[in-house]
Amino acid sequence: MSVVKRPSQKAKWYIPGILTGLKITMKHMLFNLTHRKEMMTINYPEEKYQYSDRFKGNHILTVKKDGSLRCTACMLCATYCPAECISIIAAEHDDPAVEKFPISYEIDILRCVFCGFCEEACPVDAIRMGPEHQTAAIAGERFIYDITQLAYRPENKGGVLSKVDDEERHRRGL
Amino acid sequence: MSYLTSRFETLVMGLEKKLHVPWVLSEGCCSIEIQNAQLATYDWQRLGMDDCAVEPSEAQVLIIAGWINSTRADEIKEIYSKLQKPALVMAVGACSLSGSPYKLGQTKNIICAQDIVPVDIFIPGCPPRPEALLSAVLELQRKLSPGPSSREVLSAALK
Amino acid sequence: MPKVTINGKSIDVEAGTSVIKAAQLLDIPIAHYCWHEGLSVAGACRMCLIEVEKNPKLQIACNLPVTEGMIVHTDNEKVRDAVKWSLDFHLINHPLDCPICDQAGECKLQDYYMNYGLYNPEMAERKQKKNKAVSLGDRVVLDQERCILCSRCVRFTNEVTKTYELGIFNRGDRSVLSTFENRPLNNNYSLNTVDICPVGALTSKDFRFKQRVWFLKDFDSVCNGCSTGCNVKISYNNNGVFRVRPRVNKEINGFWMCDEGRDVYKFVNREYRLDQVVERRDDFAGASVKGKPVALALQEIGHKIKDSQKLAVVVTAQYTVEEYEAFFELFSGKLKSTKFYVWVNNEETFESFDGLLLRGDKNPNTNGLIKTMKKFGIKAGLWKDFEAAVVKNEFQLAVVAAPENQNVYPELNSRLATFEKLEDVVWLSSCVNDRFKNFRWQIPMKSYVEKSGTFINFKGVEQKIKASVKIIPDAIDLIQLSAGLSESIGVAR
Repeated sequence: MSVVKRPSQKAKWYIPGILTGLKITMKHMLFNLTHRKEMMTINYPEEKYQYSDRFKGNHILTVKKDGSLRCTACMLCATYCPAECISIIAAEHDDPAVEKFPISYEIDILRCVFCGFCEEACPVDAIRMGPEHQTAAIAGERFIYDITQLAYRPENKGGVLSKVDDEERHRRGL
Repeated sequence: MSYLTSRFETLVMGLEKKLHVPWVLSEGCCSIEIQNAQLATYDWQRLGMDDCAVEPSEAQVLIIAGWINSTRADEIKEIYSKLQKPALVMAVGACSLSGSPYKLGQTKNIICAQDIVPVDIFIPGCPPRPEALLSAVLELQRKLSPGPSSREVLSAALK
Repeated sequence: MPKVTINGKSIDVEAGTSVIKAAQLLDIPIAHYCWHEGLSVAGACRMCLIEVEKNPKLQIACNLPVTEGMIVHTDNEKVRDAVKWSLDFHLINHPLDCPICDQAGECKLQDYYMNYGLYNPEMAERKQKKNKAVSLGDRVVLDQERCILCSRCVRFTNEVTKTYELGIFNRGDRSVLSTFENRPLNNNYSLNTVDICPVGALTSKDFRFKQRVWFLKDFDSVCNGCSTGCNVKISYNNNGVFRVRPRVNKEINGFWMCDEGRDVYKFVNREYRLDQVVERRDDFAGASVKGKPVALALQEIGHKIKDSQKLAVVVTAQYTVEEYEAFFELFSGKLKSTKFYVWVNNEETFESFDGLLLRGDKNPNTNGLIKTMKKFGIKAGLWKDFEAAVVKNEFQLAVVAAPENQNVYPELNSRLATFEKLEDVVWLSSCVNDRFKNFRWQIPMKSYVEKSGTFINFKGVEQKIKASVKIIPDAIDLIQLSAGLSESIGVAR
């Protein structure tokens, strides 16, 4: 495609146009230099945006008071999950009051769409969406999060306590 | 302080010419988040990601977001072959990583990004937050030049 | 023939029929826990309440015989309210641990709560605590809290198996189901109690916590375990086959099946299966070569059969009639081979019968094999004839249609030694075994859930099975095998 550009009278007036643009740039620069608190840019690794408490980040498996997993392996989260990213293998617990527990709880983080349905489906507050935003990772790392990663990662500081307590329910006779 | 370190690294990177030029191939909601990371609020130019390239041959980083069908897979392969070497690939979001939001909707011919090109950085999320993209850029820097970055050196010195 | 009108629909039934059965004939659902068609009437659950016109009180449908001109309503306001209160009383001490209960998804308490209940419980008292996860025997686990005391399982052990293991002990809300001391529930029909349990009180140790039932799909099939040929439902999903349950067929198995037959799904799962062609090679120091395409392997076998003069064909009674026809048409009709041998298992107990369902003949299609052999005029030898012929070195090549269920062939390992004496064996089998590596060829076969065909049971009843699952993609059946072989041998189809 060849376009012939004819010199027009208007094109000669580019210098005022440049000056107008530079004026706006300089105005913002000076404003930012003098009002650093009100600056728009977030200097990411040092500063972080405060998301609300309801932010849906990486999953957390909650624990009981004794530190074991709260999850009863009912598989309602796996049933409800629209991305089919949760896979659970259940097993029989020695304690008849606990009865069923997961020996493997895996979330394929590459499939997960962070919709929060698992959190809603859980009858015992065993899975929550945590405050951490999705973590990028280089190739070769594990993308299938297991129990160690979901429940006992360093950010959880030894496990997040569940709100639903079996002993409490048994004492109330439920 | 954070302002200082951040500006300093940008300056150093500008001098060393360590800015990466991306070629963004995005569809759907991930593209909104990528634009968010490019613009003033998050501004990934601070961390070493340049403005988008005009031609694939100018770029070093390929950013893939959105669903990939067979037509688009061919396109991606072609673009990947044109990139400057060594080429890096960032795959963004659940669609390109596993196709899960589309595989469920009876759309069968969805291809994963890692099946067609070697992906270096995986960013899970649907869509991932701009922070995830920025941390991916940092991971990328760390991968290319191992050891402490100039930012870390400066912040340690200032302490 | 009294005439009864239920919800406006009329039907003539035989005298003495209960209303619940008449309603079943009309496809009108009546809620019930304790009533079961194969057991006696207990009238314990009070869920099947119905309103009979000109009768002041509600009646239970399971114990009310039909009389002439009876007009019954099962779905009006009065009945629904009464059923709701019955359900409320059942749930007074029920623990509501549906998330960990295996019955969830097929539980009658859940179904009827959604149909009749949907109330907030009005009980202020604490729930009774009973024992959880009590082992009743080798196969059954009891949860006493979940039990609603319908006594179906007790009546089953009293009336069907006549072993009298279970009973209901104590009184009032302390009543529990349990076994007698030193008499565990170990009869061969114990898992039927799990099937008929309307709630999650009795669960199977084998299936417990393996899968949630809503992840499973059912298909109809015929049991492969013995020559009775019980009608079964097989539950499966993408991870394999998980359980076998009986299907009602009053002519053959009634409502029940034996526990042995419930283990018959195990050998069809991927981890027990031969998934590719295995060839023994003499030039690699006897090492095995795996993964040759089946078509190529069949071509080589075909050439071998063509060259060989000393061919023996050994068959077991575990394949379908259609497969036998194709197989015998090739070997008897086209190749004019005469050396056929039938491998009979459990020869001592072959004719035995336990009085209810289980037979000593552990093959589903013995009659089908006999019938097909008669059709082709084959006079087959038995195992001892084969053994004698092998000792006399009469054969070089044997084609063995081996059993797919190895568990019912207890003498399998001792008999493999006879085959190992032969130079070349084409071993057609669906399962893996370390000893098979001595055979020249192992061809992966389809199991009974993967192929369609006919089984003829001990009475001569023909029953169709349908291919429903695909577990091993490379597996073939005898029909495909015969077609492939006849192509490579060069005999016309």
